[in-house]
Amino acid sequence: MTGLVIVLITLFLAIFGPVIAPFDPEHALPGVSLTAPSFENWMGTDVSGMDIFSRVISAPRIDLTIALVSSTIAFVVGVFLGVVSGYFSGTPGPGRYVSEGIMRGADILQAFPIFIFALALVGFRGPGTENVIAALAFLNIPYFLRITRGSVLQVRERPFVEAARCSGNSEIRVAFRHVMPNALTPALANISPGIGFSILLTSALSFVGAGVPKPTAEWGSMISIGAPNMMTGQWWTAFFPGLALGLTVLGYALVGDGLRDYMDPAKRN
Amino acid sequence: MDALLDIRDLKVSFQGESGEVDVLNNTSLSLLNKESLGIVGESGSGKTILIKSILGLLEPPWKIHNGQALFDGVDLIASSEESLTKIRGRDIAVTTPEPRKHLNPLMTIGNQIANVIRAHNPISKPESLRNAKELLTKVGIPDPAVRLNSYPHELSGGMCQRVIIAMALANSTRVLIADEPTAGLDVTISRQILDVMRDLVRDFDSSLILVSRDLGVVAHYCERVAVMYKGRVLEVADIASFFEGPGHPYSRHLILASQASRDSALSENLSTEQRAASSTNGCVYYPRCPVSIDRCQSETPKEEKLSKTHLAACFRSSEVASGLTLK
Repeated sequence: MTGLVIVLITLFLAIFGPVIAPFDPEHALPGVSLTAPSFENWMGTDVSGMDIFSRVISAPRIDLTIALVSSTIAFVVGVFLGVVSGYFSGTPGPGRYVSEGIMRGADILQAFPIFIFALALVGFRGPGTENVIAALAFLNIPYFLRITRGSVLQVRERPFVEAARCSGNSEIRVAFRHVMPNALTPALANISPGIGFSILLTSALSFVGAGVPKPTAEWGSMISIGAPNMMTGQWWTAFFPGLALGLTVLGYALVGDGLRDYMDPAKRN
Repeated sequence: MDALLDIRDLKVSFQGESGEVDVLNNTSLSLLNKESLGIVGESGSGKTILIKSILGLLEPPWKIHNGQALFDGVDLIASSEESLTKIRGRDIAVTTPEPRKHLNPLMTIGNQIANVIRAHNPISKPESLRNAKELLTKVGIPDPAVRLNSYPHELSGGMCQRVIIAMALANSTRVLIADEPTAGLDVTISRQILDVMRDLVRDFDSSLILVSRDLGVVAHYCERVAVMYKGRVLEVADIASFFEGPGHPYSRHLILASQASRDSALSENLSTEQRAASSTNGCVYYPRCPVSIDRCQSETPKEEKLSKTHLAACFRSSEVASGLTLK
């Protein structure tokens, strides 16, 4: 329930954040820099004099778009490939080679440094949100793939899978109708932390210049800009975007849990 | 004698790291049209592997070396996965022990039964659900309309077994293979389930293979019985001659053992002592057989005909059948 509220708030801010913000989140206020939280600037201002509160509530638009879209792509593609590679792993016939091929592809993807990949993508296509999304999706696909595969390897040995084959279901149908729903839990549980990590990585990518361009309001880059100021006592610069990020991740984690319980008819009441 | 399912010389092995073990050794067995055949044998005798191999469900490290399983003239062993998919669940259906584990925990039982129907018939979903409801009524589940929407964890073990039977009979199967349908159920429920199964098999004009450890169940529900031991069929007989004069010492022991639980004096006669088999060629029962002769060590006995409907793979089968004392 709490999770749902947080998720709804972030979604609301993603749509209306920049509209309801008291100041322009991407323009410095004249003559103020690093002011402490006050009635004027609820969360203070940062080193360039931009209002932190306005920036914090404007950030979900870009952060959530990147995190949700990239996680969704990674989840769908990762789970699909995970089911295929898990279900056909070690079986006689051509399925085995497909399964091995998928796993080696995942190995290559995971061995390749994400920053190089993102930089190459930016060099190729120019900086932009789509490139960040693509880079994050590629980064996350192998994780969803591996956990789904592991869980499929377990589920496919359960008796009801054989029973499904016995009653005349085709292999593809058994894999996606009977095995997949029973193997989804670990992947579902990993969506929410995945969203959190995606936001953090977005900022890391911004830091090396491969992510969202600097003045854009985005929690990750606000944290990285504000971190040095924390050392000198201006805690509010990184604290508030950090808090917002933490709460958001928590919210999605709770919703992920709820979703997992909903998927299990024995726990659904 | 027209066999509906004819298994011939089936040889299956398990390929382990330290070598190969034969699990089925030239097993032959046939099922007649509209009959019910019981298969009895202890754990590890190859009953389940026999079923899995005819359904094409064995994967490495299991290996089928040779043999045929002719169903309606089609060899199931040599059939492709696609043609087997059409046969499984329509012409040959299986029920299993541990029914709850064989139901998908995330799907309502109505959907699971309906799926089996739609896997083989081009009908709409609502129609298949109506058929599923009828089937639930037939297998004796109260409130079928409500139960259609139940998940397996909401049903008792006995009800799950009824659902499994409903699924197996959903496409009026021609052969129903019931692998220990009453394992883990109490006696009264077992009785009800077996009765339901027998009645439905009769209604659908199907044949039944009942795999069981319980000789009493087989005696009551089957017309013929096959005894398996260590991957071989030792005896095949009609129920009456089997219980009057079993032709194999192992069968005799099985019958004695099932009576021994009620009669303690009998249990003294049952030796579990084992001798080492001196050769792999001999009779599989030689290490435990009290009436073995020298030949048994080096030669595998062929099936001998005791009567038209009674075969036993023992050199001394006629003596055993006519009441030879077991030591």
